[in-house]
Amino acid sequence: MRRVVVVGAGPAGMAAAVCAAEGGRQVTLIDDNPEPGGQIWRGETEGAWFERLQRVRVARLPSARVVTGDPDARALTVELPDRTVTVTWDDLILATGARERFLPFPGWTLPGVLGAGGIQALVKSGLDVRGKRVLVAGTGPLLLAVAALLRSRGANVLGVAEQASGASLRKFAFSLPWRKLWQGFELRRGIRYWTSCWVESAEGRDRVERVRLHGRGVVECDYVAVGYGLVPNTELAQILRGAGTLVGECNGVGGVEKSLIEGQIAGHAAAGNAAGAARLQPELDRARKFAASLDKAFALRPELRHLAQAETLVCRCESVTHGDLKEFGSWREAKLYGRCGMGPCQGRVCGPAAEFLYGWQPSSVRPPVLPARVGSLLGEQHE
Amino acid sequence: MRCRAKWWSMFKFRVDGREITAQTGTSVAAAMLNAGIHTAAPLCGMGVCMQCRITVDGVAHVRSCQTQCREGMEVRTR
Repeated sequence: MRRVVVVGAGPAGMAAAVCAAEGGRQVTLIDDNPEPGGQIWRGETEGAWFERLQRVRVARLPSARVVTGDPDARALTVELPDRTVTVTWDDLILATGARERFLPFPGWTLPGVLGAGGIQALVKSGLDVRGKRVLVAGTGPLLLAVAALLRSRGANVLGVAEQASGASLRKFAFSLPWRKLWQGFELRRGIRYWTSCWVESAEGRDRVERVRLHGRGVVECDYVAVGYGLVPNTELAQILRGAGTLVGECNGVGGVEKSLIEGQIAGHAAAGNAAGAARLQPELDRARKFAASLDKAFALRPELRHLAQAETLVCRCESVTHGDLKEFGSWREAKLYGRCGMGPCQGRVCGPAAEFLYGWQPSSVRPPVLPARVGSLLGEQHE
Repeated sequence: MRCRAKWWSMFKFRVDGREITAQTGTSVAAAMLNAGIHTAAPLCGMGVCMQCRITVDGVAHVRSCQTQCREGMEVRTR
C-alpha cells in the first residue's frame, strides 16, 4: 500500500492526513508538538478535525523533529525524544506552518518580551496571565485574536498597537465579507486599538517593566507581545528540492481556512481522489484572494527599519548587533564573517528581520534544518 | 478555564534546585514563567527561536516551550 507521510499536524496537516487515510492510504503524521492542532489549535482537543483524526488509522509521531531528508531515497530523518528513526514515503505532504516575524528594537531581548503568537501559544500551554498587564503590538489580524484570548484568560490587556495606518485598515475592512468583518468587530469589542502605533523600545531591570510606544509615551506592563506578521517555514521543503506537496501556511500565509482546504486537496490527491480535490478548487481561490489582501493591508512601514540602535542585537543566538551588521553587504557575508544566523535557530529569527532591515535575501538552506544529534546524522537506528 | 489549578492534577518538579508546582499539560516554559523564573525565557513560544533551551534530566538543548512538565523532572537552565 502507498505510504503517505505528512509533516506537521496543524490544520493543514490534520486535514491532509484525515483525507488520505479516509481514502484508504497508510498515513504517518509527524509533528514537533506533543499534541496535534498546530499553533492555532494548540491545547484544544475538540472539533470536527480532531474527531475525524481520532476515527481514522494514522500512525502518529508526536514530539518529533524532522532534521533532514533525502529526496532521492524518499526518506526523512526524524528525531524523537529518545531515538532517531528514518521514515520513508511514497507521497509526501509538507505542512510545516509558519513562524512569527520579529523586528529588533532596543530591549527586545528582555524576558517578558514575547511574540504575539508566542504569548498565545504559551497561554494555551498553561501560562497564567490572570491580572497581568499585557500590551499586544505588531501587525496583522492575529493581534486581535491574541488580545481576545488574553482577556478571556483574565489578563489586563492594555491595548493593541497596530503599525498599519487607519486608512489602510479601513480599505481592508471594506473588502472583507460580512462574516469576517463581524468577527473582527467582535474581537475588538472593549479593547483599545491604536493604529499607526508601534513599540519603540522596552525597558526593565531583569525583565520588561515598561515600553515606549510611538506617539503614546511610556506604558508600564508585565508582558509585551510583539509580532510583525508570519513567515512560512520553508526550510525543509528547500532541502528536499521540490519533493512533496506544500500545504497550509508554509505554502503562503493565509489563515486556517486556506490551510484546511489545501490540506484536504493534497490528502484527496494522495488517495487518488481527483474529483474530491477538484471540488474544493473554487473555495481555494476565494481563500487565496483573502490572503493576498492581508499582505497589502498589513505591509510593514519603513519607520520600523530604524528602531534598532547600533548596540541592539539582531542575531540573538550569536550576539550580533545592528552595528556589527552595517559592514556587510549580503546575508551570506554576514553569515560567513559575522556569524549572523549561524546559531541554534539557524537564522529563523534574524533572517526575516535582516530581509526587512537590510533587504538581504537569505541564501540556500543546508541540512540539517534543525540542530541535530550527531547520531542522527550518522544514520544510527532505523525504523 | 484551563489555568485554574485543580489540586488533583498538580505536581512538583525542580528548576535549578528550586521546587515549583505545575499542572498536567503545562509546558515547562509556561510553568517557569508562572513561577517567576525568567532565565532561559522564551520568545517565540512555538519551538523556533531556541531561546528557551534547558537541560532536562541531563539531556541538554531541550526546548522548554515544546516540553510538557512531568512530576519529579530536574531542569537546569545553565
